[in-house]
This record gives sequence, C-alpha cells and structure tokens, in this order.
Amino acid sequence: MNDDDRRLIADCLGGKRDAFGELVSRYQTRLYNAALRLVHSPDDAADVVQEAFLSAYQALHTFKGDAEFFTWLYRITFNAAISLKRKKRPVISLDANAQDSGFEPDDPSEYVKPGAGLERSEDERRLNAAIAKLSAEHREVLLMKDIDGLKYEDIAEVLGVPIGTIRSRLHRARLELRDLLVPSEERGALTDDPPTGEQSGSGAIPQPRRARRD
Amino acid sequence: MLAPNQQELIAAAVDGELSAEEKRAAKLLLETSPEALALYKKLKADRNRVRALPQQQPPTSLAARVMARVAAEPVRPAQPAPSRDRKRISVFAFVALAASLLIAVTVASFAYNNERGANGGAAKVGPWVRELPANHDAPPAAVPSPTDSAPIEPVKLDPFAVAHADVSPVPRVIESPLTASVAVAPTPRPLVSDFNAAPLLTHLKPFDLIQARVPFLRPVAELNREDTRQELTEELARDPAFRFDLFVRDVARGTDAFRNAAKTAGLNVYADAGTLERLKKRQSNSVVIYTESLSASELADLFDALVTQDAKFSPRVCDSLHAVPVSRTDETELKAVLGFDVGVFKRPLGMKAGQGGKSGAKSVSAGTIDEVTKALTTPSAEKCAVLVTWNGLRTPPAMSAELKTYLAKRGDRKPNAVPALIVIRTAN
Repeated sequence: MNDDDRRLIADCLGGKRDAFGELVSRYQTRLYNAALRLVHSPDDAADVVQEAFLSAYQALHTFKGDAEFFTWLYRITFNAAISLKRKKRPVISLDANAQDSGFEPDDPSEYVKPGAGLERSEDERRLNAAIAKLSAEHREVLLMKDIDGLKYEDIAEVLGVPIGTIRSRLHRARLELRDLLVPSEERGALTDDPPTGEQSGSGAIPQPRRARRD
Repeated sequence: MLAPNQQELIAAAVDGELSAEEKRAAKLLLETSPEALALYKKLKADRNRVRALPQQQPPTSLAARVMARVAAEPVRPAQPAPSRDRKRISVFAFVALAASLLIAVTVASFAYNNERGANGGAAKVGPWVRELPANHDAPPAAVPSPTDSAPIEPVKLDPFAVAHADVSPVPRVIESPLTASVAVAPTPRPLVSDFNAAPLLTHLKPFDLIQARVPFLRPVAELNREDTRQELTEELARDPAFRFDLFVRDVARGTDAFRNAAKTAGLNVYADAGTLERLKKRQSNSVVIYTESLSASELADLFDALVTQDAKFSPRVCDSLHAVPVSRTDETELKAVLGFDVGVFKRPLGMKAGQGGKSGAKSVSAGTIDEVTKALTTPSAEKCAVLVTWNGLRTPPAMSAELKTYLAKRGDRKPNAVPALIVIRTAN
C-alpha cells in the first residue's frame, strides 16, 4: 500500500472525514468503471460505488493494510454490484418464458450496444467489438487484469476461484482476443475503409448478441 | 507451433506474473523461438490497447453524494477491535485474576482462622466438630498418621449414626455443649508469616490529596442560572482560549437558535452560504462558529440568550454545553477550516503569558495601561463571528465571501477577549 493511502486512512480513522474524501476522489473513476461493467447502467453503477464507499468507511478499521487499498475497495464494490444485480433480477413467469422459448435476451453490456461504438475511434471500436465477443468469464478476467490492474490472486479472491484458473482463463482470453482482432485488422488493412453498418457480419460493428449461459 | 503450456507462459509473462523460475524459462523461450517472441509482442500490444481504452467519467456529484452519506454517519469509523489474540489474553488475564483472588481469599481465611485458633481456646473446637460423633476407639493423641507404620485399627462405624454438618452461615446456638462426645483437634501449627499468609493491607500509606479539573458540562437550560453563569465565567478565566461543544438534536435548527441568540447578544455572525445550503439539505452534521470578539462575561451572556431562543423551539433543540480549553489539534483543525491561522493562543499586546485574561500581578508601564484602558473603553468595533462547516464537505476558504468579510471586519483582538470555537453538533 502506498504511503499516501496509509496516511489518509490513518487520518480518517483519527476522525478526519476530509481524508476519506481524498480517497473517494482518488478511486471513484476506476471503481465506477468497474461497477459499470458489472451492472451495465450508469445510475446503478453510481449507486454501487456510493454504497461501496460507505461500506468501506464503516469498515475502515478492519482494513489491515496488507493489500492495496484499491483492491480492498474493489472487492467491496464487486460484492455491492453482485448484491444489486441479485436484487434487480427480474421475476419472469413460466408462461412468459414459454412464449419466448429458445430466445435469449440481448447482452446489455456497454460493449455491445449498437451505436455506442460509433462515437469512438475506429481502433477503439474494433477493440470494443472484439472484447464484446469474448465469453463473459474471459472478458471479466481480462478487464480486471488490464483495466482494473488487479493481480492474479486478487482476481481469484474476488471471483472465488483458484489462481491457476485465473491464469488459465487469462491465457485463453488473450488468445481469443488476438484471434478476434486479426480478421478485422486484416480487413481494415485491405479495404482501408471504416466498416459501415452493412458490414456487421464479421463483427466489425458491435451487435447485440445472445448472452451465454454460464 | 507453440505448445499450450508455452502459450500460457507467454501470456503470464505479458501479465507480469511469473515466478523466478518461470521468468528464466520464458526468457529462454523468447530467445530461442521467433514464433514465441512474435506472440509475446502481439499479446503485449493487445494488452496496451485494452489499457488505453478511455474510461467513463463518473457523475460529477458522485463524490459529493458519497461524502454526504459519510457525513450523515453518526459515528466515526470504529477503532480497531481487539484482535483474537488480545481477546484470548484478556480472557486468560481474567481467569488468572479470578484464580489469584480465590487463592488469596482462601489463604487469608486460613490464616485468620489459624490466628483465631491460636488466640482463643474456644476456637480450638470448631462448631461442626461438636456434633460429630466422637471416635471412642482411639484417643485424639493417637490419631493415626498415613505415614505411621503402626497398624491401624479398623474404625467401627455406627451405621445408624448421622453426622450433622452445619452449613448455615449463622452458627447454630448450642445450648448444652456435648463436651463428652467432642473430639479435641490437635494443636494448630504455628503461623508462618510468609508472603501468602502475610496480613493484608496493614502498611498502606495515607492517600494523597489530588485535585482534578472537571470540564464544564451543563444542560443548556441551566445556562441562564446565576450560579452556572458565574461558574462559566470563572472557567473561562482559567485558559486563553476555549472550545465549546454545543450538543443539539438537530444541527440546522440548533444553528438557527444560536444565530438568533448571537443577534440578541450583539454578535454579528457571518455564515458561509455553502454551509447554510448544506445545513438546509441535511448534508452537514456539525458547524463551527469562531469569534474572538467576546469577553468571558459576554460569552456567558451569549449562552444566556441561547436559553431564551432555545425555549422558542418545541421540543427544545439544544441539549448541553461542554467547554474545554482549545487543544493544539483544535487549533490545527481551525486553521484548515478558516484557511489561515487565527492564533488562538497568541495574546494581544499588553498581556503577558500566564495572565489568562485576569488582571496581572506584575506592574505594567503607563503606556500599556493607557493602551488597555483605551481598548476597553473605546466604543468597540463590530463584534463578529464566522460560521463554517466543521466536519464534512467544506467550502474552500478562498471561495467563501462571508469568510472574507469576517476577515476584513475582524480587527485586533481585545485584551479581555476569549477566542472561542463553538462547535454545534448532534448529541450522538
């Protein structure tokens, strides 16, 4: 844990709430993005982060400092997001299911929303499309590692799986992402034109896709 | 074609999570296999691209919302709970203490009874032995010892005899001692005055007289009583600056009551607009009023007026007032709140350290007397105070117009003024 975090935590435990405000400012963006990927709604993500910070404040004395403070916050945020998802799980009647049998709901992830990628640069759009095509468990570990900057052991603890599994999943996720990026990059190099909406068959434009059943 | 374990090794190298042994293996692989090196470079490039993806910005109000929730928390983060080891130690300590007490009581009781036995002949015979059937078969002096090699005659027990043990705390009154059937106990051993049997609490020194200063803590409703006013005024003369904690049931309403009282007492309170806004939205749980314009008696007047203003609320808002000398921590915190050091411990010109606002014992020059007299008799400048947030989200000092106004009107501190931090906060 870095010295700044240590000092701020000590100040906060000493009764200075402003010190906690500094910690909030420092980590809110990373936690918000992590929460956004989990709950797929900006409002819910903000709620999750708010709850997570409040829980962290109440339990700050239990933080032992043997891990990074962000990792500790991340675990709390992850649990808060899972709780929210459980609370918001829709109750669907069997009759309603019968009518839609064989049709799975679209993945509401930010990465697969049509139009969302159009605002981004072409490279980002291709990358986002490829990430969106990863399986949920591969995407989860890849983003936890590369964007959230967690270590294997932290990811393993958050997800409740062995470290070996995380290492294996990440390895497969990287190879899968490489395979997904290669065709679009080759086509981009050949045509040198940004793909349009009609070229969606190869995955260049993020499309709603069927959610995998885990 | 790379084997799966080689690919996994390369992916772990990209993740930067290799053991020392794996590092050597990966290095060797990358040096010997162009295919492995190419894959490593591609995966690393992919990782860098993912890392460079733009982050979504959280709502601008998120931090404020979090801090408002934190400020609404009634308590600070709890202090570390005792660890399991400490709990275990404390349990052992308790058991050890209990055992020690038990042993001490037992030994003391034994010593006491022995002493009584040595001093009084009647105590030689315990109350219970008077009722036990005597052993007529052997004289008391011939009580067999376990180590005695002499043959032990079997004791003839009367199956119909009943032994009565007196377990009542009140000794039974024996009207006619059955001396004929009483077995006489052997002479007690001489009392050895060792550590365990030492008489208790015989060499205690007389207690020293200690004077403790009890902080001023009174219900607000009593602050208009003459004796309380007098007590407060005397307390305020004992230190150069004071912190008052005014415990209220509702900070917003408590602040209103205080501002009304200040108005009555002629104190102009410049309230930071941001703080008032947060009070209105219930986002602030404590505010501070700083003033160095009032003397001890004027502060007593102010709190007297507060009683009147508080009585206008039903139910009353103000609970109690706690006054303690300003600590260095308070001074630092006040500096952070106001954005500058007001110098609560600095004395105005003409006052020496140790005078504490009272008339000095040392002689002073005529010029100093004139200066002090002038300061006391000249119609004073405006009596002013500033109100800002104490805990929680604060308005940056540079952004508060009211704070700037206060600074402009603050002027020099009077010699008899008592700098006061009045923190209005909830009681829990």
